[in-house]
Amino acid sequence: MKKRLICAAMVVTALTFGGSAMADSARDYISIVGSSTVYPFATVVAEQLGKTTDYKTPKIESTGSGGGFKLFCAGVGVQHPDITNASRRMKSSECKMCGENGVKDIVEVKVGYDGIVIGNSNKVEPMKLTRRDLFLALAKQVPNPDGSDSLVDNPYKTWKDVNPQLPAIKIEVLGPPPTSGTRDAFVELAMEAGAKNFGFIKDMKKADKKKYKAVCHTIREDGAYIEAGENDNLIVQKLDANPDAFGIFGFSFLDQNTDKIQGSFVDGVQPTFEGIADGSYPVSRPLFFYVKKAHADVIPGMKAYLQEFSSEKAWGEDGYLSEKGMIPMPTDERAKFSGDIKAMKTLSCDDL
Amino acid sequence: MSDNLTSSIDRHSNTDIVQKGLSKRYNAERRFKFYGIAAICASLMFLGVLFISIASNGYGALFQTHILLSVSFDSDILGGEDLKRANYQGVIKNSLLKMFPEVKSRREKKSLYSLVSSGAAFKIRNILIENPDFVGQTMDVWVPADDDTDMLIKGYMKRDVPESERRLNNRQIEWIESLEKEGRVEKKFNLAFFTAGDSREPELAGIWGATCGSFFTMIITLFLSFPIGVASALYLEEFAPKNRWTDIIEVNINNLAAVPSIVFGLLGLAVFLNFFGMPRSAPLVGGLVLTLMTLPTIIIASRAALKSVPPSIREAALGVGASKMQTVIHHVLPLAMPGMLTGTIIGMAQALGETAPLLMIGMVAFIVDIPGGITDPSTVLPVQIFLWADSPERGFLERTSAAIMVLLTFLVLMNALAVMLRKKFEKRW
Amino acid sequence: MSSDQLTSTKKTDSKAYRNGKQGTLVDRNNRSTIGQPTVHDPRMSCRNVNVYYEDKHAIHDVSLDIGKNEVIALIGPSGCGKSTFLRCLNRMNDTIDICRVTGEILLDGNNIYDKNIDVVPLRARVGMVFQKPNPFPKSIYDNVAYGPKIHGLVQTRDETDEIVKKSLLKAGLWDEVKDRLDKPGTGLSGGQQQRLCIARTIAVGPEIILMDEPCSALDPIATARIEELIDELRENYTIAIVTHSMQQASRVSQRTAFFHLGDLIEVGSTNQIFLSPMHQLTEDYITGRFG
Repeated sequence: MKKRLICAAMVVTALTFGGSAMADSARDYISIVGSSTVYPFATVVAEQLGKTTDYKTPKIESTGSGGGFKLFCAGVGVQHPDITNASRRMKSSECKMCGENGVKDIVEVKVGYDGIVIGNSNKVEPMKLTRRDLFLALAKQVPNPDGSDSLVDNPYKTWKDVNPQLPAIKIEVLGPPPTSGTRDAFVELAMEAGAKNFGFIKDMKKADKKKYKAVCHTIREDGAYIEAGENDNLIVQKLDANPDAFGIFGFSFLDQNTDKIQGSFVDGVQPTFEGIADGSYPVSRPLFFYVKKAHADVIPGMKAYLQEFSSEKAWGEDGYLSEKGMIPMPTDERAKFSGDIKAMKTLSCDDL
Repeated sequence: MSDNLTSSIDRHSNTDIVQKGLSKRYNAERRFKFYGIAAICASLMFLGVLFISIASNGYGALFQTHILLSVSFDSDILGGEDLKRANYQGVIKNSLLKMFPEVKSRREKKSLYSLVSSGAAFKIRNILIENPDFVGQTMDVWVPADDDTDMLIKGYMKRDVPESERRLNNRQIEWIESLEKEGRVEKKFNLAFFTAGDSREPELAGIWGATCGSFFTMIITLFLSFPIGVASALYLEEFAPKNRWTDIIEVNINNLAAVPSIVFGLLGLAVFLNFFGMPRSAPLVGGLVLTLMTLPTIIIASRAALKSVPPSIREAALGVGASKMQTVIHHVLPLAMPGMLTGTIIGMAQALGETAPLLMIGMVAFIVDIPGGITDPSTVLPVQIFLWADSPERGFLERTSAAIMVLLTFLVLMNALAVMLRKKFEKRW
Repeated sequence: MSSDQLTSTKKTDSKAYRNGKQGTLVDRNNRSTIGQPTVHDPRMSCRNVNVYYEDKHAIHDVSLDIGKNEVIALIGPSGCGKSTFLRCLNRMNDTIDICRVTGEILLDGNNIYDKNIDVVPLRARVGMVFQKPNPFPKSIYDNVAYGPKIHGLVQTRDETDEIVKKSLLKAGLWDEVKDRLDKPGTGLSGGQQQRLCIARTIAVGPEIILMDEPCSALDPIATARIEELIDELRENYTIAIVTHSMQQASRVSQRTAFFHLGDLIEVGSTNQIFLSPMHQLTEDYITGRFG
């Protein structure tokens, strides 16, 4: 019996190694990696491609923007991904790393925008916040409340302490951990912008850029900000249970859960589809994907996928991606990027 | 004489002392029993709460709302000869418009179309490709409803809250109610959930893809970890000399069993993907990584099983002149087999529920196509649960629970199999 | 122990034997072997056998012959090394890693501890029956057929049937089990199981059978049955039996060897040992003063 088992194991191993060699020589599906923010949109396009054409459905991994670039830039060849999604622009260091590994021709495509929402349960009135309030409520170090140009550890316990017009409820914000792209975007778009209201912090940018970044980007660790993991659904559930708590999450989760939660006003604008699309809602960011040009003609379905993504029925005003919560680009931007796709216009690291 | 006297007095007082202490002893015993029962009740309660909450959440996913559309396969709308690429979305839209002719504005049309799942077009596409003669005819077809409609019908979405607080507007609810009156809305058994791959539309998403992925992964794990594990256990327990080297190996195996599984994922990434260049996201690599993770469990269980074989059996075999190898293969191994199988199945059940090591080798991915082999990209059941739990659409909430139910069913089945095998092969001596 | 010493002890013990009746016994502090350890035509002869468990010296310099077609009983108090000695005779001690044996044990003139002696054929020639009946968890038939099968003594089913029947007949079990040969051996009663183990040992065709307290787990009736069997088997086999029961030793054996704390104290014909022991320790033991 054991002999038979050993034989079977050997056969399996032989088959698998044979199989892997075959799989290496050709891949008949697109491999996509990258941001978990773009993931819900890219997957819809991939599914459309798989169901409406004869191509296989692309495989999409949600690795985070940084992880995606790492995999994407590892080299050219079927074992490396063809496309990486990103919720921020590629850094020039990443572009250089790509170049060193032979990934020279990269096409950059902006697909739309994502709003970052600070929201709470809709059982209570929506809050009217400013980015200055967000900075004061959440930063680890804030300007001294006595008005002098010095920094102290964040002393604020309630929203009223931050801004007398806000209600006197405890500051309790659930948000993503530091590994998340949503958090990166939030500290940059909301907190850094809020910090700029203070002249001496703004001046710091020129004098000591490192310290400036540390002040603007460090979130307090005394329990007012609670890291809730990458699962935005969890945040939604917790907000529903605790009306005093606030959460930070992507717009698509607000869009899908309007019966439970609402977005707070930031600088007078509520996070709505229209508000993000026309740019009046301040905490929004562009979403991208990057294509390896060398793979475009090798991997079956690449052209079709790009075409599908850039078609009006996908990323247009009324496209199916907008139904999933992605905010479309204005018409002229859409035209520019679909033109880039057609021409396969490559990116130069110097532009980043 | 005096000895007898004192001892009889002693005995008398001893009995008293014993009597006095007796109630205390029995009380201690009763308390201990109570603690034990309380502990069992508490764990049963937690288990019950877990099962009930999962089952009550997931039960809904077994049914899916369908809408009866009268579809006319109008060749004008289908357009062109190629039935594979015809405009089926247009056919669906057309039949919806026919049912609600009063809808005119673009915005209203859009919200009307969104009552039906985008899967409806795929469904009628399949019907027409199988029966091309239907072109030009009209027929009633049950098509899946959109997940929002489904949530409304199942009662997760309340009809009486203000319009802005739900995803369906008043007009859409009116349409659904009129469809309900005509008997055109029905909850049907959700076959797609058990036969389809992943999807971004909750109403189309199924776990068959993940189940297949789990199956292929487990096959690889079983075929590698069982022979390797049993062979290592046999060698270490029966043949290896007891010296410093075997001690070191033993300590290392025991340590490996306690290593967090993500570490095996990193190892898999470095060795199988980067060094051997195996494909990402393939059950082959997943199986190899899980083999590494399961091996210590199997080796430890197998060694325990071998140790529990009474030495008298070994002596009996050696006594009639069997060689060491014959003793082990003919007598010890068959007697240890039930224990080894139990260990293996428990190890496999552990591997079946693992996600962390698969993250590193790309099995945490959106994969729609059903994998057909061990090198096709695929995902596994717990990963599917993880991905659905992270999806914004409300419909995935119940599907997550339903997928957990499926995973638990597999785990229960595997454990039952372990018990059965043990009962079947167990021999008394 | 040299042959000189052996002869000298011989002299002493014949003297002691003469003196035995008058009560002059060899002093209890004398640890050298008294009596007749050698026989004229030995089947096995052990010379200067020492056994060590790691650094514990378990058997001290024991020399003893086992004669043809005789039953030799090894007696002594618990822990005296009689089982250890018995297990040396078919190298069963090899299974214990920490056990080390020195000296010579000759079977047909060959030292069984020689490097070029294979333990598998040795154990086919020197069979063993253990203290606790230990049939394999298989059918009665398979239990008996196992030995012949692995040694290649049988080729066809008929040959196997024959050897199984013969062995069971010799072990006196055939009539009791002939209708249920396919039933598990573990389902038999204790005495039957032990006879099955004897049949299993006989099936391989050994020359010598070692029995390690074969009746200690059995009731008196089963014990009597086994004792009868031992007596019958003596015609064809040489038997060495370790026993705790002095009655049993006196009933079944022709020669008896008395062990005490790793030393072979006295050896001689069973009658002599039990009726007129020459060593103080032997007398103390058989009269039940310790043990």
